[in-house]
Amino acid sequence: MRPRIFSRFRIMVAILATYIATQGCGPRTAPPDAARVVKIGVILPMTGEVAKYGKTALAAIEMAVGEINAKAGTGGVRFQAVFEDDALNPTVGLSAAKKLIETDKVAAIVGPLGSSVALAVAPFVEQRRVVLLSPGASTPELTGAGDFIFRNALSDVFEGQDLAKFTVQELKVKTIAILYVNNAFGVGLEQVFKEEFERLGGKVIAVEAFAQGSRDMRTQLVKIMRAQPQSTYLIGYEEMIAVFKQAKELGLRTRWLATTFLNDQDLVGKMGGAADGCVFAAWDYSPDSQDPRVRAFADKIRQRTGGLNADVFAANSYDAIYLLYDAIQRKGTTSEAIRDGLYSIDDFEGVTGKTSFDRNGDVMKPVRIRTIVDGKIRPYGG
Amino acid sequence: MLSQILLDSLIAGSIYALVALGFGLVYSTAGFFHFAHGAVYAAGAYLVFSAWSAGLSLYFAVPLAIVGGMLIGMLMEIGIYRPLRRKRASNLTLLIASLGMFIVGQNLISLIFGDDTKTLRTGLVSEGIPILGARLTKVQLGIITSSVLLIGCCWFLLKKTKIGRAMRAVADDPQLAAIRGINVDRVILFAFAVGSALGVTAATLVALDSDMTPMMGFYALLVAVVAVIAGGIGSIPGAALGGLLIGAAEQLGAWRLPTEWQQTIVFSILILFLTFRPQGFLGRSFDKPGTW
Amino acid sequence: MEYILHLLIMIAIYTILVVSLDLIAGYTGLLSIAHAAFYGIGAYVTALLSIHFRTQLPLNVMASAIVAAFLGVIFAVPLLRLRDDYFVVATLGFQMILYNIFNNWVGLTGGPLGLPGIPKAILLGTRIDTSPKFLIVAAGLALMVYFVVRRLVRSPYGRVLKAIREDERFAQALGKNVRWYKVQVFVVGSALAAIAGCLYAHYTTFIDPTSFTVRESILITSMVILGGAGSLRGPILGAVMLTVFPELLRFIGFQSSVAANLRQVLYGSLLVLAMLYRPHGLMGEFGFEK
Repeated sequence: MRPRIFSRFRIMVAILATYIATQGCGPRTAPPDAARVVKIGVILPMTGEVAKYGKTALAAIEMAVGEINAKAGTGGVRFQAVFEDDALNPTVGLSAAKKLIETDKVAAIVGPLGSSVALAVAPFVEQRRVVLLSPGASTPELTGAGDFIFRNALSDVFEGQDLAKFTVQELKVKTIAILYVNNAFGVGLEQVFKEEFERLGGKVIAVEAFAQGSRDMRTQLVKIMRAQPQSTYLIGYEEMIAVFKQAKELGLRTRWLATTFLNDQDLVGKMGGAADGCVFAAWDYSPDSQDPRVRAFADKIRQRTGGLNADVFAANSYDAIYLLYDAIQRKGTTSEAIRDGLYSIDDFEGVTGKTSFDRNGDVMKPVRIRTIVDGKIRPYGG
Repeated sequence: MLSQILLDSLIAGSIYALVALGFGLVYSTAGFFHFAHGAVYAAGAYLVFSAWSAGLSLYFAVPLAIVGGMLIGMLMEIGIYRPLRRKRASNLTLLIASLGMFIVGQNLISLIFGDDTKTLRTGLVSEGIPILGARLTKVQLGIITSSVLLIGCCWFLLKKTKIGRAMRAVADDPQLAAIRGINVDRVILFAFAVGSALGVTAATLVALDSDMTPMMGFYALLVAVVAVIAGGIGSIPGAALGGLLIGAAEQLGAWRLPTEWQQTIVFSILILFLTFRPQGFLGRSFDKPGTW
Repeated sequence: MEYILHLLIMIAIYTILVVSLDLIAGYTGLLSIAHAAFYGIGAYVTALLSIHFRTQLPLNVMASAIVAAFLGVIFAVPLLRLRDDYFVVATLGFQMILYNIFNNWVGLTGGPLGLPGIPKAILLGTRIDTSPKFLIVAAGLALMVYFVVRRLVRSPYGRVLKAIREDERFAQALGKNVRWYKVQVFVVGSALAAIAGCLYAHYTTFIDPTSFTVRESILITSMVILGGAGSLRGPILGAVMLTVFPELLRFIGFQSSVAANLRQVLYGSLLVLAMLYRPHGLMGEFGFEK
């Protein structure tokens, strides 16, 4: 009996061993041999619905690091990026941060994209006096998280407030419904928008939520139809595809507003025209920009990822690496120097427009109002 | 407004009925919770997507996917469940193995196709046809009619055909059926084939009506479990009824209560039935649920 | 050092989780997929008490356990007369409902935004503000839980549990009030899971519903099954393995998106293979057989 059991056991061990062995191959930027090597930790989500953003962000960071290293002469600063997965899970993210700071001794960390992960990681990173620059976490809670905590992702506060102002003042909307995804992102943005909208004299006449990842929002849409708002603000990710489609099929007529996640040509392409006319607040990255630098960036991302279009997280990640580089040029390569350098940045120009940090480490960026015309993302004109 | 909600209940309920039916057929003949059905479901939708993106028209892609799904389901039975049954594995062991296969299946889909949402759409989205104060799209009409048709076919299969009678015999008492000369293994394999086909059909309809992600099987599976328990284990009208019940509860519940509690309603129904009437609406009343 | 301490602390927390689940599932044969929900209850109770009332650790531990026990009783009493696979489904329903409550009851739990700023644990007047101190506390609690459960399962009480696991009707025939034993064990196990939650809240100082999903329950269950149900040490080995392996892989190669999915495929395959060839896991006594 015993030998038979052990041979099965060996099968399991063999599988484990094979798996571990196959982990040897994977992208990691090549360690440069110049003296001034700065290690940058990167924490990105590689699983789940947002894995696509992790992938494009990874490609963007690799690109930026490659470009910087190629241009560095002898004695110039070079980057070595160490990538870690956070699985969009706060505990895993925390473990990634600890490993990066302890074992890899990184001078700065780019990431994470997820707000909950950022909130879990920030106290530790701050305590260790290592710079954290998030290209994606938008929760307002991160603003006061620490002196070393930065982000070039726009806080929901700005996005929500700017869109509310625009809606009331430019679009002259008086009554609105909000349809939001029931997670940290959706709840946070809904609260900010509602507050500002009502402060400016508008009325929020219906508020409906849907679970992240769900695909049947018909009842919520019918309830909104019943309330007959002039406009409806949609907060979600890929669920927006289903929302727009079902709304159109149900005959819901309203002026649609949405969030920056709609600023993704891949996503809009799946909507079958149902999102046409939607006005949305976008972080400052234009997929349709004529700026040659942005075009080159978008093309290279498409090549590197096998066809995925660059999204705002990729753009922010790309700029994040360059922002760190800029900070180092200004002040030095230690963590404190990088921090000081970031605070002193004034209108840095990247693929996401101009970037400056306020005293909280939040970024002050204009919110771009865009719209969708014939299935294509366009700036909102007049 | 209410008519739209009722119509939506019918649409959702039809899908759930199909998934519950497939799941229930396996449960009643094989006797355990085949969680991996959720993986077959999702795989079906993605098979359609593969065939369709390769250039095949939907008229070919869908039957191809159904056959593919049937093969996957049957492979699971032959490769994993049957050997386990030979070793006299308990329901719980089968459930755990099933869970393992579900995890494997879902992640394989993620690996092969990526995690982003895929659609089967070519043209523009258009408004539904107005009917009785509500709106209905062609696909949704297709959902309701397919569901009715397939439920009817299953009923016919089980009541009027030889293999159907064999399935009922196995569901009733596998040992007795074996003694009477029925090849239990073959009957179970057949149940997996039919069940998987139903699952793939349901997933295809969902993909046509909205879209697909690798995670789509998870919630569908949970609903199938609730529907089968609420409607009555082992009963075809029961699974269909359970599906409709869950569809209605979901939509009506979201209509009346804050919509974020939608899922809670579904699972509360599960708990209520398990507490007070584990045999479901149409199941027979024994002290141990799940036995006919 | 901090990184190693982090791993050890998480192992301690998971030890409490797997030992308590082993008591319910491995020794009594009641598989529960609601363990993460009770873990979450402990975390939220601790977070709320700590944030609003600055309570000390012993009180938090007890409060977490009591609330979890209370909810456990409400759940277990009506539902423990179900057959084992039905019971699993019931626990699944309970897990989903509780997750929804964590996520939707914004006023109490912060909803999806979670509860940030949880104060560090306070024990006997001292703040447990460094990781080495926390490890001592966590390891201490884990050892206590382990020894208590071990004592329990090695006693005549434990023998009754195993009898229930092997053949419920027979145990019933012997005059044991099987239902009552099952309820007790479920409640105790769930209360212990809440203690793990209490530690987690103090350690990460930020909790949100995403840490207490059905996926987490399945992870804990996998640790128990793969390690070997019904042996206490097996599940602990499972906990160590499934906590350490993903971290080891960080060093061997970069975690591409493929790796994360591959890992899940591996876990799923191991579960299936374990059921086929080694249902007792690495060191277990019980393979969930009839």
